Amino acid sequence: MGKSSKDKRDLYYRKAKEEGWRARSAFKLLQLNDQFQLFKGVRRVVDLCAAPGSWSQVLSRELYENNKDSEIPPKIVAVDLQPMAPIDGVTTLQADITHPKTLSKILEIFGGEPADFVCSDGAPDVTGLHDLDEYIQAQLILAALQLTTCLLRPGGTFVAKIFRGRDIDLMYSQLGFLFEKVICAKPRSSRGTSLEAFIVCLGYKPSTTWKPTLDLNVSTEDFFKGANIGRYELRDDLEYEEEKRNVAPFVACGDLSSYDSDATYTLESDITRISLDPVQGPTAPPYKKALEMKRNGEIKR
Amino acid sequence: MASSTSLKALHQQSPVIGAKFYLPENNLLFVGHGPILKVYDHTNGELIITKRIFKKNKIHGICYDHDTIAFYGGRSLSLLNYDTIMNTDSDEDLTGDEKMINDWIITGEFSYSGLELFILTAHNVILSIDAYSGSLQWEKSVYGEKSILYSGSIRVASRHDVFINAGTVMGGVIIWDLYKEEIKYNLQGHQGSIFNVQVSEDLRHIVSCSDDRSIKLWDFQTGELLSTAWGHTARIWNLKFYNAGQNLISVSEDLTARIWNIDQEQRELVANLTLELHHGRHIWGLDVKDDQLIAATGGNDGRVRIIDVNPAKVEQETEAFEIEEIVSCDGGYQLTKNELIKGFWQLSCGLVVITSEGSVFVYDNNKKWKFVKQFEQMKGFSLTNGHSQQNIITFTNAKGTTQLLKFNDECEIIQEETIVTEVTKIINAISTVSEDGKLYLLFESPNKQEPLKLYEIISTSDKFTVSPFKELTKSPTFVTTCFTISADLIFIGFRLSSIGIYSLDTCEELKLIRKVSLSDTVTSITPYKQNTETESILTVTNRDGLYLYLKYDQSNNEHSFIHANDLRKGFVEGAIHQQDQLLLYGFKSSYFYLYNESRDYEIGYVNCGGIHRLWKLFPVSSEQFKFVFIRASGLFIRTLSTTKERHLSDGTHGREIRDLTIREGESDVTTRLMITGAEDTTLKLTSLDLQTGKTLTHWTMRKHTSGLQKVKFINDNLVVSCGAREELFVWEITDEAKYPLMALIGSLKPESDIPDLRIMDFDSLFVKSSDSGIVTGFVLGCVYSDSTIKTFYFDLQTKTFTVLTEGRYKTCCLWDFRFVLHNQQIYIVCGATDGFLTVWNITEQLAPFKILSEDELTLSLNVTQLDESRAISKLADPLNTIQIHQNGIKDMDLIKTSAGFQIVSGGDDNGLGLIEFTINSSASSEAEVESQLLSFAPDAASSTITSVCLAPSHKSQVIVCSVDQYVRVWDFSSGELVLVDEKYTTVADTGSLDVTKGLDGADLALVGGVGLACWELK
Repeated sequence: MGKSSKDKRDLYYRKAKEEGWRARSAFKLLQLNDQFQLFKGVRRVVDLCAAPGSWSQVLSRELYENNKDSEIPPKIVAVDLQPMAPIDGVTTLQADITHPKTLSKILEIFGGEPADFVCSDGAPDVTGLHDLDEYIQAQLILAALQLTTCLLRPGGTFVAKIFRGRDIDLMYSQLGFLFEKVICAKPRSSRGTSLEAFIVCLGYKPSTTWKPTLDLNVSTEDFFKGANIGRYELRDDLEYEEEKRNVAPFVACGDLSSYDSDATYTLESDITRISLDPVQGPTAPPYKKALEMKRNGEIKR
Repeated sequence: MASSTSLKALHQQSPVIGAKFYLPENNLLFVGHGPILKVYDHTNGELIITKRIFKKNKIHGICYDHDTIAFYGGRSLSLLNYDTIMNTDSDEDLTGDEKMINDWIITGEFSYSGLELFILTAHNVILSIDAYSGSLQWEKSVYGEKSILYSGSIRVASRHDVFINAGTVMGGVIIWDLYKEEIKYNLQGHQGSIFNVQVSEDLRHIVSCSDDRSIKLWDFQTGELLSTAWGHTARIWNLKFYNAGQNLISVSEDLTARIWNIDQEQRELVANLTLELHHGRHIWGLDVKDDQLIAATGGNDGRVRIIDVNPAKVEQETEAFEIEEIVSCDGGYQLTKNELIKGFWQLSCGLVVITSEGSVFVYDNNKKWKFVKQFEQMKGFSLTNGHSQQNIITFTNAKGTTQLLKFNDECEIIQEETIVTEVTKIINAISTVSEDGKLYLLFESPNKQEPLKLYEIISTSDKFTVSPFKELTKSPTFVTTCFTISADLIFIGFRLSSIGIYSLDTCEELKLIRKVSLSDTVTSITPYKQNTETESILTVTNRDGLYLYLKYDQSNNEHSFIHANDLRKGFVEGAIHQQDQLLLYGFKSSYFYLYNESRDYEIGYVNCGGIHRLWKLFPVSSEQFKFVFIRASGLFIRTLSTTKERHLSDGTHGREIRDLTIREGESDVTTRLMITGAEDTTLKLTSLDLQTGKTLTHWTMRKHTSGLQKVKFINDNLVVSCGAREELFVWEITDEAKYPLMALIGSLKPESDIPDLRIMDFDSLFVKSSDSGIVTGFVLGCVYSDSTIKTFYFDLQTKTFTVLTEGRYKTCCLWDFRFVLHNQQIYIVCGATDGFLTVWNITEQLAPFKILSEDELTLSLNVTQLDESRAISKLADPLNTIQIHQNGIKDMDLIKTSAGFQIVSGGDDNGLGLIEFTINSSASSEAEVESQLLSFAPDAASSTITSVCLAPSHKSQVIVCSVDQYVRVWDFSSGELVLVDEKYTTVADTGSLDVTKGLDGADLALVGGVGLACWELK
């Protein structure tokens, strides 16, 4: 979250800065929790693709802060490839979620006990090629799901960010094989103009015949082989086959009276429009040098 | 019967990713338009074959071996025989041959023998597929390298050497040997994901590009990084070596292709040319045909272009001469110290130049310089003009002497004349050639009291005659910049954006139009069309980028600007009318450009150093232009030739189309006008061919500064568009013989400085004068993103808005707005992000407007009753509100019933609702408006429903589109929503829809998103 003119327009963005959240997406998890009581009874939770850490902040405040005086406070692990500033009660791991070592580290922190809740607010950079972007997003969810199937307790919950594109019904269908209930949830703090939504998977029901194992040399495709979740598996004749699709029920979460992320709010005049400092500075983009060169007039036609 | 309705795709335009020249035939280019293959003859632009290859997936790549052609995209692939593809008798649908794998396909290539097809997947796995049977033979990968790839290529070097070149998401380029199953290099150096990697045919070089926007050249033999090149201002998507590995072409998100020389000695990438090619964002598709040095590019805009990529192009098209070289053609000529070129003109016999010593030379068509003659009087200062076709050139000095010369085709002088103009001094001498071939010269003195002097020169093939001059009086503060003669009128352009109109006969000033633009100079006036004996249309360019079509009627001395647009490309210096297209030229920073404004593409550019120099553009033919300029002391002649270039497919915005509107127009036509508004902030005025569903762009209007929300034809010649920053514009369309014109006639003044405040939707009611019955304006109702609802009156005479009513729903964003006239009452209906539909009665608030016709949605008004000082009425409490959706109502359509109206609404919650609103007469005891949800389909789509439109011929059917890329037809004649038909569309981010009556009783639905698709309903 940078310091910019955006301050004026997005109420959730401003509220996030005021309340000290690292990103506006904190409100999305809060509204999801209001709807589904995701945090109820949770003792062990994993936040995947966690940087900059707003979901971990929510988990820390809702689970750790409220229970830190108890004998064994709930355990929160946040994983990301990027480094993350520390958060009270959260163990941060800078690690690859597809790596078996990451799994064993998390299990170590949990004392060998399975997780009650796994969530992921991860989104890849978009290219603009819609089908490729959807594929990459699906891969990210599958990577999170891989790890989840290795550490979630039966009956546990999995929540991940999705983009409702043309093949999202394939994802709904496949997750339906692993969970009792799959819901497409849209918090009011997520813009109506954006295709973003969250897949809420309740009641993990692991397969009795399939044992998930993380292996560096096994791709996500190979990993789910034998899981019988309706994924197409490579056949010698390469015959075209329509995979199962299913529309998950849609639930809008957050009170109707809560702020609308599509609306334009005129700020009360006593709140002067000061630009708030970002909670966490932006990371250097890969094209930083190209930008500098353009600024210095080194790039010409 | 409802169930007989079916959807058929007529024409779909979508991003072009896969493009491949088929080299066994000299003229064929294979292009993937979404899942559809089109085979073009790239030498003449003809579309030869259209075949559907995949059911849903896009064709991302094409490769072939002899007559076996492989297509791949997503997880799909297909191996087809050349004859099957090219057979015009066979079925257009070849999707029966579609095969699939379990992973995303990065690339494909045939083995050395052609017996196998190698497929590289996104997990860095190679699949070998039998090219004949299409069955999987084996899989290979290297241990521990199954991380996700964004890109890759396969270099089949020999029977035994196949290299897999993989671009990972994490910045590494992995080159591995397929048969040895080992990693050759893991090249580190890029930042961010690798978007392309290629190995040259001679195995000398590797090139790669990444999110860091650089291109890196590596030594294939050692893995050493040789060179890093910068230039693209956004991500680079595709690279190709060509010209025996001596050149590279890169295409990017920034809409350009860059040509690079690979210096074989220094082993370095050196920038050669930058070509601006597509619209919106992204060039994806790329292939090069080496023997002709042409490339095919495919953009997100759906456009396919054939471009000249000859690295020596600029060199070959440029002739450059120092003055020493020019004068050396005459052995005896003595060059004076500091002698310079002072002027030039391209005649049909050759290019004539004059030096500061008054010496005239000609560069004839045999490319030989020749000394013509020296004119003592032209020493020091002279201004050059000419008549290219008639081989006449004129030189004018400051004292008022003009030397006229006429040449024959051998560049010999056949007539010579001198005229002397009585004038204090001449600082400006300009010329124009009228449509009837006469040359006019106009002289201006720095003495502001002195009138302009105009000469007419009439010429036959061997002789010209000069008329006595005429005097034109201009306003003393004006400085002349350009002029033209059209019929019997003189149009003069001045600095400070003003235009004077004079009678050619009497020289009397008929009209002075001041300040056509805020600032700067009128740079050209070009006759376009003589409408009637007294009415003419001309094109005016202003240096600041504005260009206009000026209509002037001599009979009543009235003028209007019937088209105005901003090129947004630096300085505009002139216009050329070519068939049904307008070309504009000018300067942007250090280069000169020639732009096809009608079709919105650059014809060519010249790096000349900028505007401050002697220059002139001479059209030679429709495909050739000569740009002559002086740089340093040299004379440069640059030919801009487009003979090798063409558009195979016209395309559209290249960004998400947010809304579109089709003009109802006459019933007996085969094309219909339409407008699309997109995320790129432009509006495109386009013709839709009702037979084929194809479109042809006329104009790209660049007025909005933010992403569009809505655009609608509110009648046959008025259009309203709106967006963020409270932008709302009223446009007028003028139908002219060759193409339509579009001018902004009114805009709503923003009331806040919040850039995010968006006008989300609007509706209109036409207003006729209660006295004359003539349309005087319209009432416009708008809804805003801050929950405001406002109505205005737009007066067509004064072109101004008057606020009528104001109100507010809640605090949430409003999406939809409609007027309903019923029982002599005016109602409004709004849909909001909270999923509610709400109805108000605003009859009282809209007094003094009276309902004229409920069916035609017209009001009447006694204009005198609309007092500007009247108080703005406040909206009363709503009469009815009903929640239909859990989340935003993205779109709705409305149909009137005898008891009120019905609405079909589409939601962000994937649902489709049918709601009945009953309006009770005021006498009854019941509530004035009652609502009832008649039918609700919760899973009407698997993603957001974005558009709902009633079918023009079946008012109990709606056409619905949604982000899951389906177009669906629902019937609600029974009071229940029943799905009638659904078809997959190739248009992603499906976001807008409009319908019209097509030919032979069919309805047409036009679907917009990233692309545009035309569907027929029968």
